[in-house]
Amino acid sequence: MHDFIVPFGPQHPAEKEPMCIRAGLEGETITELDLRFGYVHRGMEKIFEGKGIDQGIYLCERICGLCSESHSMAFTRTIEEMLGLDVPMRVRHLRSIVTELSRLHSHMIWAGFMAHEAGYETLFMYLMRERERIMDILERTTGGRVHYGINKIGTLRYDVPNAKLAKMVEDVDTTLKNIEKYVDTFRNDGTLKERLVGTGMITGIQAKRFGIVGPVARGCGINNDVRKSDPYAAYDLADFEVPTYKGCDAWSRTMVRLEELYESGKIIRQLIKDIPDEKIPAFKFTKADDGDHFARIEAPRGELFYYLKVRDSKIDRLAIRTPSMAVLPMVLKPALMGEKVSDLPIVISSLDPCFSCMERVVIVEKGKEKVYTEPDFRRKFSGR
Amino acid sequence: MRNMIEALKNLFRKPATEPFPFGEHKRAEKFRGKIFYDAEKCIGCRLCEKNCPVDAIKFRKKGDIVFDMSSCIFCGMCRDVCPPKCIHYTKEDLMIEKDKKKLVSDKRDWRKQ
Ligand code: SF4
Ligand code: SF4
Repeated sequence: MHDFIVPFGPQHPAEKEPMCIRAGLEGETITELDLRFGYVHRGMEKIFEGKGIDQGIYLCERICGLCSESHSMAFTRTIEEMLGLDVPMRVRHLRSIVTELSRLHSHMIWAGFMAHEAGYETLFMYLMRERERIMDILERTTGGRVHYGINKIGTLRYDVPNAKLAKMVEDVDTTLKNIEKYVDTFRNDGTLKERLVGTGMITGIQAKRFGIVGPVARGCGINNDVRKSDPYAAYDLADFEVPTYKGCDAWSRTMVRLEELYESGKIIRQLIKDIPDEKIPAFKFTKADDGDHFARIEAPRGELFYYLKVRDSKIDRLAIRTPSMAVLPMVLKPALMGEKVSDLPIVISSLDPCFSCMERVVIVEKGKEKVYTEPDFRRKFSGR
Repeated sequence: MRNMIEALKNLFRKPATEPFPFGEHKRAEKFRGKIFYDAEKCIGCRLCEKNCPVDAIKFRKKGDIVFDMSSCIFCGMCRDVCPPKCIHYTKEDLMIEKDKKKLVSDKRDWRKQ
């Protein structure tokens, strides 16, 4: 039973993207939740149908603003594995470096928003200032601040000269050194800890049952990282740790992401040190036989899954499971039940949601969720 | 006390943000801004129109191509595929218009630039 209902969203100052939660309250405690999605459904998967493979990279980058490089990585990985292309080592190194840079800025903006939700406006501003340096590196190397457009099938648009890479290491080091103070604030500050520790609990059992991914899973003690378990690009050559915390609360998730910043810095430094000197191939149009393939990569928010079917060298079907889609709809309810209504923005932020990536049409048959096995999935989405 | 010193220092420090829109507004060398189309060099192969992911390019005839900047996503595909390299990106990134039609380039507009 609830005393009254508080609507949260779709337009709410604490939310960056539209989403509606109707929370049934008993006193201040949330006892009932009604989640409503679907305000930013853009029909991206439909847009891809009939487009050429080389065009697909640029379109899929536009799915998300923060993990745009991850989407193009996933797309190129799917195609390259399907065609059996041999990608030169320099290309792979540069791709990993750009992906790690985008992870850096994505986690930094997230940490800023987390501080903002907890009432630390200054920390948010400081983190955004440091993030600007990463954005500048990306603009210098790729030509875009949000959508880099550097990947092509089997190659890159530009080679990045070694002198620029050296400058990049310097800048990344400066940024990571400057944010040490802020990371310390997150780790030790009494007020932040009071608000984050024990908030938004998702137990390890729930996390396993729902199959959640990324930093949220790692905050529940599940060591799950595609970069380690299914390496792509040049990640098998880099030596890095996957930080995991067992707290299962918002604070653990925060710590996982903040430590990932330093791991990303480590990867960038190593890969730039070991980058081989070779010419990158010139861009050619991609011709592909009919077929389908799937691949996954680790986006800043977790595992990103792409399923692609090609017909007549055109994209016939592209099914995307973004990390937010694997995390948010499942765990929002268990994480929010029993919390105070004032913690609602913090819990949602700690899951790092990206609504416009995850809005899909869901088929529910007779009130039951439908889970596809692999043959089912192929039959349903590729017609064979 | 520390906060006081920090606050006093900040009074005299320059802001960390760019002085936008009144100051210098630097863009990187590879920045992809508004498209500049060199009509004289165009050979009329239509590759740009065919490869644009969002159909922002309309080919009328050789040397007369319409770019719709309101639907362009600045992906760089048209520049990459153009054989005589007659499509360039300017550093201009402020394309704010009340009327969407003003963002559709006509041949005349491009000559003026
Ligand atoms: S930059 Fe991309 S979207 Fe814009 S006109 Fe060229 S191909 Fe089309
Ligand atoms: S690709 Fe270049 S040469 Fe060919 S039609 Fe377009 S602008 Fe002209």
